[in-house]
Amino acid sequence: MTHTSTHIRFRGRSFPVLALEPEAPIAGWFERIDACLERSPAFFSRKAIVIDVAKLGLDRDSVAELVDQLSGRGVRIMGLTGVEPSWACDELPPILTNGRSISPDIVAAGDEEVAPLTPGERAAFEEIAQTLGGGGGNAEEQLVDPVPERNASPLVVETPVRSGQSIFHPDGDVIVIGSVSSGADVVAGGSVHVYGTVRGRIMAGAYGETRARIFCRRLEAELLAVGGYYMTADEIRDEVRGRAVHARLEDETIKITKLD
Amino acid sequence: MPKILVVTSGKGGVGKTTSTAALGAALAQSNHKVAVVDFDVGLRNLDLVMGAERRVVYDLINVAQGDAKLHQALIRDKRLDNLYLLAASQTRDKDALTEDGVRRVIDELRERFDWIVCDSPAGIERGATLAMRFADVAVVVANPEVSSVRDSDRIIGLLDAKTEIAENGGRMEKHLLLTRYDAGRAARGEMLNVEDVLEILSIPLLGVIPESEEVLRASNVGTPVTLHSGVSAPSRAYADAARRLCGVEVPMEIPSDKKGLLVRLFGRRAA
Repeated sequence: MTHTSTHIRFRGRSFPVLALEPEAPIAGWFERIDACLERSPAFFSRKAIVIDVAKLGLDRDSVAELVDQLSGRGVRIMGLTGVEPSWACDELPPILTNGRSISPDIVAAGDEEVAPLTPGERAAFEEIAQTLGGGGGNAEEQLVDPVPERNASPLVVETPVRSGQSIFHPDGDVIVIGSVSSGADVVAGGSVHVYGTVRGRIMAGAYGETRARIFCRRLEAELLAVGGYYMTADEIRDEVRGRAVHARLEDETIKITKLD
Repeated sequence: MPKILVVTSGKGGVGKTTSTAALGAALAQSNHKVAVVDFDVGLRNLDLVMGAERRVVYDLINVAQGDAKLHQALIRDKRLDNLYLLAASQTRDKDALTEDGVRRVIDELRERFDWIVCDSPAGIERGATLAMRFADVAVVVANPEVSSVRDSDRIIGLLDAKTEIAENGGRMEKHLLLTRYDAGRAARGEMLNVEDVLEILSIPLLGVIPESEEVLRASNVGTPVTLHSGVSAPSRAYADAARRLCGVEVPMEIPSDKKGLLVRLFGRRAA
């Protein structure tokens, strides 16, 4: 298959980041920050920082003020946590939820996608922790967007999936007995099986499972995605259109094969 | 057991109002007591198609809000005395409709009529969802073209999710009425054919209404197409559809105006 690729990749991934927890009284906390920056002016440079204000109970204006103060000191804030999700706006950094503390053991043994901290990063985090809180226990590394616990039970849909409907099953396979209409979405963590015609959009392996596959009785899809790699209707070859097919990922390209 | 029928489509201009009037009149012709209700508040049309626009005093909103009694607002058809119209308000908007208000009106209509045919506005917003809210049966009107079919598909999804019958675990009875169908153009691949549409929507077919000048002619003189001419192709197609709604088995065929000289002559004379 030779065509110019128009794939755009999106994947849910987890990264360890440093969550900075300002403490009350804020003025005193900023004095410690300033002292730290005086000793090493590049302390926060090129580091991704999340501000966790859960323990402060600030209102929105105070949080905005805090963010301004920190940005003014050269802290690059990639996100804000511990606030109401409804505060999301252009003025504040993106709001993150579901942060989890991680311990080095879990990182080392866990999902391959979560890169363990390098000794250098760990040292840097501990240095910051020492400076700011006077003890290692006060700084916390958090996981942003943790990969949810998976249970692999399939979701069986026994009705047609109509235009405007969206089936979302992050945990396993989706089996549709019926068709998936134009303007409908099926999103699965695992594979998707459609015993009918696919006219809508199917996303298998939505959390990056590249071994997921898509099966259907008749392919008229608007879009197929496997493991974050997309293919639009325009890219689907004529000889597989309207046929019973299965689609899988091979060398970062979706391969569609006839079933009969 | 009275039936609440909603005529809906998602897309505008596919023939909901024409079909409401034609089916309502056909049901009344077979001796059912019928009320047709216009839910298109702010853009009412059913009164024009029924030829009752000069006699509207009170409307659905007045009754729903308790400003008028139902019997004051119902307009009896001049041709069939078992056919009534409940018009929509032209001066209000759809926010004037409330779920409780609509429920009260429907409950009251249920006591007086065999069939309550609700003409849904286009779209998927308040007016459309309230028109389908208390229905037992839905006629989904679609034209044989992709945008209409996709919008109908969306509406079928809503019928299965946002109606009272669906929320109570019941199953909404749904029928497809394919309108403005041109068999010749469908055969030439210029529009979707009946099988294509049925395959996409997968609901039973109630009838196929052929594209015909007769529809426009009837609506211009304010007459449901089934009352305008009993022998025109769309009139026969709507009459068959109405019989199927009542559970009568009628073989499915697409009536045509071009069948023979005899039909054409009769059609002209009756028009």
